[in-house]
Amino acid sequence: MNGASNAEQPANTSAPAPRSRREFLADAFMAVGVMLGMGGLAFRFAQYLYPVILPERLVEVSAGKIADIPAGGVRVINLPEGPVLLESAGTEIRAFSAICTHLGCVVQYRADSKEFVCPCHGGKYDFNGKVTFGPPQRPLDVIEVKVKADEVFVMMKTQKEEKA
Amino acid sequence: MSRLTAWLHDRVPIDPEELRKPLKEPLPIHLKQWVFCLGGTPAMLFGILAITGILLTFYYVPYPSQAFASVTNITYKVRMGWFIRGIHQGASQLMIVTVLLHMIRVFFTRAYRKPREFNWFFGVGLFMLTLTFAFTGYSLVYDQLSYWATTIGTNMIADLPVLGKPLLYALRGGPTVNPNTLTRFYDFHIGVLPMMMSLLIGVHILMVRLHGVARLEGDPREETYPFFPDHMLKEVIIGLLILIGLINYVIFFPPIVGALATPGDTPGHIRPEWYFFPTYRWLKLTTLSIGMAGSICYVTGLFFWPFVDAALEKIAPRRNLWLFVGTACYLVTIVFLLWEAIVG
Repeated sequence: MNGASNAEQPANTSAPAPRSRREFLADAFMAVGVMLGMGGLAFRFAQYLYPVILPERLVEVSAGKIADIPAGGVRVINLPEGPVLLESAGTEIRAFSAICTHLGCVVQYRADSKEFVCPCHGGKYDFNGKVTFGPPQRPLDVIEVKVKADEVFVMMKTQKEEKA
Repeated sequence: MSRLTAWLHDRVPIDPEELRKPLKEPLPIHLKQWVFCLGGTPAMLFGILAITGILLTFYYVPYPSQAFASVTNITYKVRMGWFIRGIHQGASQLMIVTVLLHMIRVFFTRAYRKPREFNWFFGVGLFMLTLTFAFTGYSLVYDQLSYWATTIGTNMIADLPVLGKPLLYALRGGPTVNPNTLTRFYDFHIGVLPMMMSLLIGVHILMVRLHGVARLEGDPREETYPFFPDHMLKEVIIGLLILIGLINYVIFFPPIVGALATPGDTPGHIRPEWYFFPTYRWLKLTTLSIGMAGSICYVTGLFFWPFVDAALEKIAPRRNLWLFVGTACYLVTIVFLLWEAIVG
């Protein structure tokens, strides 16, 4: 009786058959394999895009004659390693990086107010490189100065390869 | 079925009726108003940008020592170069305007609500892609604006926690803006971004088709009208008017070339294109970290706005908090934009 009624029941084709543990594990292994493979490939692609960064080193660069810096004023020079502000403060020669510490624009010197102004976001620095106004959070980077005879040298950071 | 149609059908077994279905899609009657016909405009402008962009690549050289000269060559020497560049430049500006107008319309009609949240994500994604397109585009000219916009824009990324520096190096192709930066931006502008944009436009349209156009809140009318030809005609009229306006604009205001990029000298009063004015002004008012955090919060809020709206509705039902918060955000953005435009 039971056997006969079972045979008469229409087969339920729409409901998916429950997955066996074997099928689940096979799918899981497949998914993990694909993820590892694709992840490895993506990592290699990312490596390809990431540039080779050479270590930073200090180089001594000539920044001209002392006489070229106006007394009590500033001389702005563009070196291949970056723009530099050379100051004559009394008997002392000082140097700052001219790059604004906010977002990297080059600051301009205002002789009338003796301050450095960033033309991008309006940041201001005093003659000592300290922030007096605007969004910058750090003072201008100080650059080491060496005076040899009447010539000024500055110690600049560079990532260029050393010439043989 | 004619013999030719039958022959074609044997080889491409698609039912022509199925192809005609999207054209016959019934649209709610409120779409007859012009303000609801802005969605197709950015797609049309993207097409114009793709064509003029491909034409520009025939002469453009993505290397610092030659990029500026090649743009100058396109603008002043190549036959109709000024026109192609002008249309490309003008269409990019218009694309931002039309995407914004479309977004504002979707926002104020709340068409982003359940179950259309995902399409809002795709829409905001398209807006972000449009801005990235514009940024990478004007970086390619290699004039003073290009160079300093690239410097500032990429330096902002460095402030992101943990990933900031690696991302900056990967984007620039080195620690500073260098020849690699230009080629990378060029790759993004002509390869990566168009691919992403095409994909996202496709998904955006598909989602509209799957859900159907959202009914206007509070509009009891049940009538519909077909997409083709009624609605299509309106889109074509808008497209043609924009094209006429664009061509006239380029004729009367042909594109110019600024000063050559000088890495050691930032010119006074430099500022980005108008669509970045709000961010630019915001960055002037705060420290970089706060500026970046604020910008990220703003964009995140914009992305997840459908859920913010639902949460506001739950907090204070029928108080229209979404309208107050959203309008306040728009007003702040417009105030920052005007502030930067007027005061500088």
